[in-house]
This record gives sequence, structure tokens and C-alpha cells, in this order.
Amino acid sequence: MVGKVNARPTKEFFIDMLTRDIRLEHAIIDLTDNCIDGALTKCPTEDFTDLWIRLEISPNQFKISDNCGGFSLETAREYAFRFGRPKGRKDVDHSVGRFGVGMKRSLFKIGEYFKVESKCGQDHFIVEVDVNEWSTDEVNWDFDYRSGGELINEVDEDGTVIVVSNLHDNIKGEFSLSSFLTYLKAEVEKKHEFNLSKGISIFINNQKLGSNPVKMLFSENLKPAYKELEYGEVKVRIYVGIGEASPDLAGWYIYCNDRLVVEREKTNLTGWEGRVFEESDMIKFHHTYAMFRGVVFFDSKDPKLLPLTTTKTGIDSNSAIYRAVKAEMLILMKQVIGYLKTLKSDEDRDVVKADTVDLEVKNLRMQSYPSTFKAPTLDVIAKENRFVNISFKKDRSLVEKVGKSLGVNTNKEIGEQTFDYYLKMEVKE
Amino acid sequence: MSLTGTSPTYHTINYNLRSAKSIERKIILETIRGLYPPNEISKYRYVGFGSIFFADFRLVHKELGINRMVCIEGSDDEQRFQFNKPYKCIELRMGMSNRVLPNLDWSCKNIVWLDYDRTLQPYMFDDLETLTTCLKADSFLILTCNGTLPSFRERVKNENGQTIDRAKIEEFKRLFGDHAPFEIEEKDFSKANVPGLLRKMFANCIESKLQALNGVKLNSQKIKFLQLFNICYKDNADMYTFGGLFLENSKLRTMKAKPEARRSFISTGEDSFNISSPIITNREVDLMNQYLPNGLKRFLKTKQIQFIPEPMRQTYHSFYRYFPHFMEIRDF
Repeated sequence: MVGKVNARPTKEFFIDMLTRDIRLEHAIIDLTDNCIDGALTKCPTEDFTDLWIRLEISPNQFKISDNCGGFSLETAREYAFRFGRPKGRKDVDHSVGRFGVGMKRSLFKIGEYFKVESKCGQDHFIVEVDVNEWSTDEVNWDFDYRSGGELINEVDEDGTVIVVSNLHDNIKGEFSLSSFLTYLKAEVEKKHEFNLSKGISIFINNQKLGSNPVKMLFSENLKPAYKELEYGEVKVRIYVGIGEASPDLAGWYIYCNDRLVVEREKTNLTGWEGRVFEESDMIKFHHTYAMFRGVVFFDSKDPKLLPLTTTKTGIDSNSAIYRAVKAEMLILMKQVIGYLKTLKSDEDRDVVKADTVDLEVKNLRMQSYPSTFKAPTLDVIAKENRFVNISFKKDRSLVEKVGKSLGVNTNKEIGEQTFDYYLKMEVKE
Repeated sequence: MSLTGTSPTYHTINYNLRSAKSIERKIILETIRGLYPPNEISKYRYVGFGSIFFADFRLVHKELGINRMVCIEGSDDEQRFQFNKPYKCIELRMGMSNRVLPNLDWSCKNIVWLDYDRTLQPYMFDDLETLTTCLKADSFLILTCNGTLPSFRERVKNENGQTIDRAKIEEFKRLFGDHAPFEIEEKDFSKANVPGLLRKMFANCIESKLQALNGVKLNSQKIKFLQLFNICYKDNADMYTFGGLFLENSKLRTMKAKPEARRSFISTGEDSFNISSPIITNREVDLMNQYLPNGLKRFLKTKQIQFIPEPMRQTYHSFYRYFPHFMEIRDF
């Protein structure tokens, strides 16, 4: 006997299940990604100077608006609200949206009622959905739109306005916390660092976001290692070098089409951890490596080729392209790790920083570098540095006496002044 | 190459006098020379651990005409190594191989010989992974290490109170992580089986890295590792050599078919090839040479050489073309 079993999706799957896989701040950033896609269509030269995105967040309502071009009625009818990307759909070049899940998932995550208004050239329409009502009908999946004269015109230039109300209780709670807004701001600043540097203004509750870029130390003697790879239409650029000693900031930063996907990554995903052996170079993160910085850029016109997960907060570690790139990342990382192992103390790490500038990654990208990491060895730095340290121990009571006599408080000053005194009195210039 | 806390072999043995090693070197060089024309091979770079005798470097320069050579040395004797460098074209890089290798420029074709003198260590896999990622197609990778695993056996009492010798499999797995074969068992640790275990681990390590790198390549451009060397030899310690050639998939079949890739000492599979060096005098060598080349059976039956023990005759027949000649030269 043969027959059919029901394998159709349910609306609850999209409303209640998929929404659990994404954190609130990432759901919001997903909505800003759509604005950036609009910007890429509107300004292919990537000069975003006159564009803006505004987020207005309160316990009653969530609103995101932009002047990034909006999307057409045809796009809305055929693609934008579909669950999943239909075959044959042409994506925005260099976008990060590719799954056809981001916007709906974000809206469902935030609340039970949403209104999407878009103005794009001649097209101007509103899609308004009461999620609870929509979910009761298992057969009809369509959303209704309206266009024409009766619209309350929130949009005066081409762009999109999304308002979500009837917020879920847990979301209301988050939106009432200023700590959430602070965190969201920092996250958006990081994820869109490159788009911010292209001139777009992003506001959260009227506060303008700044950029908070990854930096690497740079000098004539200290230059990152660089490797450029091409896999079909995907271009990959890898930079490794050192930055300020910070166990928090250390690690890998991975960008897909200029959108930061993974940051400060120090797990097996980027070749850390896994196996740790004394003489082996398999690496477990340790304070010694607090200066390590690695940055990878994946760029492709076709976002489907990028190794992104659907939440855009992770890398698909099984993707063929990422596995190949990871092998190259490891080789470059080993060079820097090998160097960092030669720095034995915080003092050594400070010495390396002398005469370097802290270069933002976007400036780093202006030029290419050899595939070998260039860094000065400590003895070379020592030779070039005309200053040396003197350290010695003396009886505390004697040191205090000398300090009193000199009229200074710190041991450092006592040392310096007694040295200067001897130099002046006893040593001929 | 030496490592902290252990005495490098060049302190205890003159590399030039290791006859099995010498035979191995010649076999490997002859294979390389047979697989690529001289004008191509001479453009390769040789990367090795020269020791103060630089025996492999001398041979590679003379026999293959290679002028670009990098010697990696992990000891602190830089001055001594600089002094003993036989040619100015040898670049000396001080440091452990797992630090130095990632820092080299890998844009040319290479012959890399990781001639470790220690038993299996985790850093050897780091080096294999680095090289599998960095080496271009048509490059050779050879690894030699001690062919025993002394530290992975312990003596314990069984339920009958008898003392037995047991392999420390868990400790081995902990140390080598996923490089340890999934199906590893007690018998893999026996002296006869260790070379097989080593081969499997080295081959798997290269294969898994290649798989990661090949996923994004067209079938014809995928890189394959053609194993050529799977050699056991002994001068004073049991040694094991694993090696082969990275090739684009499209070239694999033609390369496999070349006679040089089908010689008796080439092993593309699990069975290792044993080099044993006969202990014979120079006069015996001269005598036997008079009846060579010849088929093995006829050679063994030759009346005039019957007084030389058969195993010696047999071994000499296999290796006479590679057999080194040592003599003392006074007032040299």
C-alpha cells in the first residue's frame, strides 16, 4: 500500500520555533541589513552619505525607518514576504540577505502586530498583519497589502517604515532596559562598522551611532601578514597581526560582504582550542595571545556563496569554502602566535607597541602586504630603544627616608631623582 | 633537528656513516629525479633539517642541481651551523620547525624533508598540516621519525597476578587527539605494527587537510597526495620514513604509471619497504661487484662469492647501486 503523509509546514513553526534561534539584538540587526540592501541598490557606488536608518525602541512599540530606497510592490508581492527564497530570485549584489527568513522572523520575534510601509518610485504600499489572526488560518499564507490614496503617509522619500506593536512580554521587558539599548548600540556599531564608514547614519532613539572598528598595530617594522584567495566568485582577504593586549578583543573577526559576522572568536571555529599539547602548536587561548588579531573578509556578489548561517551571527563551519579558508587562516595565525610566544611579559608586550600606530581595519584594507608577518624581535627593539630599565631592592625604611629627604612619594621618583643627583654630582658630561 | 632536553643525534653519530640512511637518501633522490626532468627539478627549493653534517643538502645540491635551500635548525648552535654550511645557497633558519615553516614563503615548488630524530610527537602533525596547506602541486613531502613508540607501554598486573605489558591507548589518544586512528587497538603498538600505525596517522592527517582544501576546487584541480615512500630502516635506531608527492588530480594517473613510481622500493600502500644494510668489507664489495648486475638467483648461486653469508649477498644485491663506501683517509 502506498499513500501520503503530511509534511506541510505550520505557521507556528515560523512564529514560535524559528524565532528561538536568534537573539533579539540580532533580529533587529537583521532588519537593518535589509536597509543596507536597499542602500546598495540605491547607491551602487557605496557612497551612503545621505542615507539614514532610525530605530525607535520603547516598551510599547518598535519602529525602524530608512530612506534607503524602499522596495517595489512587485518585490513585496513575489519575494519579500515569502517564507524562504524562491528559486530564480536575483539577490541584491553584495547583500547578506539570502534565506528569505530574516525580516519575518524578526517581526514575529518582536511582537504580534506589524505594519510595513514602503515607498519605491511610483510604488507606495502598506502590508499590515495581525499575527494571531493570520496564524488561525492554516491554508491561506498570504498577507494583505493596500496602496493608493488612503495611506497615512509616514514616508516622504523612497524608503521603508516598519512598526511592530503588541510586543511580546519578554520583549517589552528588554526594551525597557537601558542596558539593552546600550548593548544593541554597541552591536550595531560593530556589525555595521564598514557601512557606517561608508557614510550612512544610524540612530537608536535619536542617538547617532559611531563606529568602533577593529584595530591593528602598525609600523615600518610591524606589518600584518596578508593573503588573498579567490574561490570562483568569492574573494577572500585575510589579515593577521597584533593589536593592544586585550584578552577580550583578541581573536578573529570575520566579515561577509562588509557585515561583521563573527568577532573576537577564539574557539575551534577559527582554529583555537581543540587540542593542546606542550610542543605542538595547536593553540588554546591564553593571555600570551591577548595581542592576536585576525580579520577575514569574504566578498561575493552572490550572497548565497558566503559561509553564513541564517542568523548571520555565525559561520557555517562545514561549508567547503570556509574549510579551505580556515586552513589558510591557521597558517597565518601560527606566524603571529609563534611571535607572541617570544613575548614573555606585559613589559615585553608594551615594548613591541613602541612607535606603532593603531590602524583601523578599513585603512588596513587600502594596501596589500606580504604573506609573512613582519615584527621586530625583542633584541632589535632593545637596540633601537635608548631607554633601559633599572630595578633593585632596598630596605623599606631607608627608601622612605630618602623619599622624605627628596620630597617625593613614589619609588619610581625616588629612583629617578637619586640617579639624576648622582649623574649631576659625580659624572662628568 | 634537535629539541630541548634531548641530545641531538649529530652528537652521537656521524651522519655520513649511516649506511641505511645513506641508501634511503639515494633511493629518494633517484625517485625524485626520475619523476621530473632535471630542468624542472633544479628550480625547486629544498627544505630540510641539515644537522651539522648537511649530508642531505650536499646530495640534493649535487644530484638534483637545486640552488635554493633552507635548513631549519632548532638548537642554539647557530654559529656552528653557519660555519658548517657547505654552500652559500643554504639559508639557515633557526627555530623549531612548527614555528619556522609557517613563516616561509611557499610560492615555489618544494622538496621538504622533515627528518626528525624523535619518536612520534604532536608537533609533527602541525608540520604536516602546515605543509599540506602551503605546498604547491608537484611538491614532495617526506617525513622521517623514530619508528618505535617507547613511551606508550606500561607494565601492569592482570587479574591472575601476572605482570603484562599493555599499550596505553587512552594516553595515546589524549596526546594525539583526532590524529589517533578511530579503530586503534593494542596490537597497533607492537614493534612490527608501529610503522603501519605511523603511516596511517600521517596519511590520514594529510588526507583530512586536503579534503578541507579541495572542497572548493574543480575535480581536475583537486590536490591528491601520491604516497611513494613507506620505508623502515635501521642504523642504530629503528627509523621510519613516510613521503610522497602532491599532485593535481588530472596528473595522478600519468604519474602513477611512470616506471619510477613503480620501482621495488616504492610503496603506495600499507606495506612498508625495508632497507637493511649488509655488514661487509670493501674487498667483499669489490668481489661481488664483478658479478653485477645480474638476476638475483644467478647472483646468489655465483660460486666465487659463496663464502659471504647469503643474507648479506641478498641484501647487497638489492642495494648495491646505493651502497655507500666508507674509508679512512689519513692526513686529509
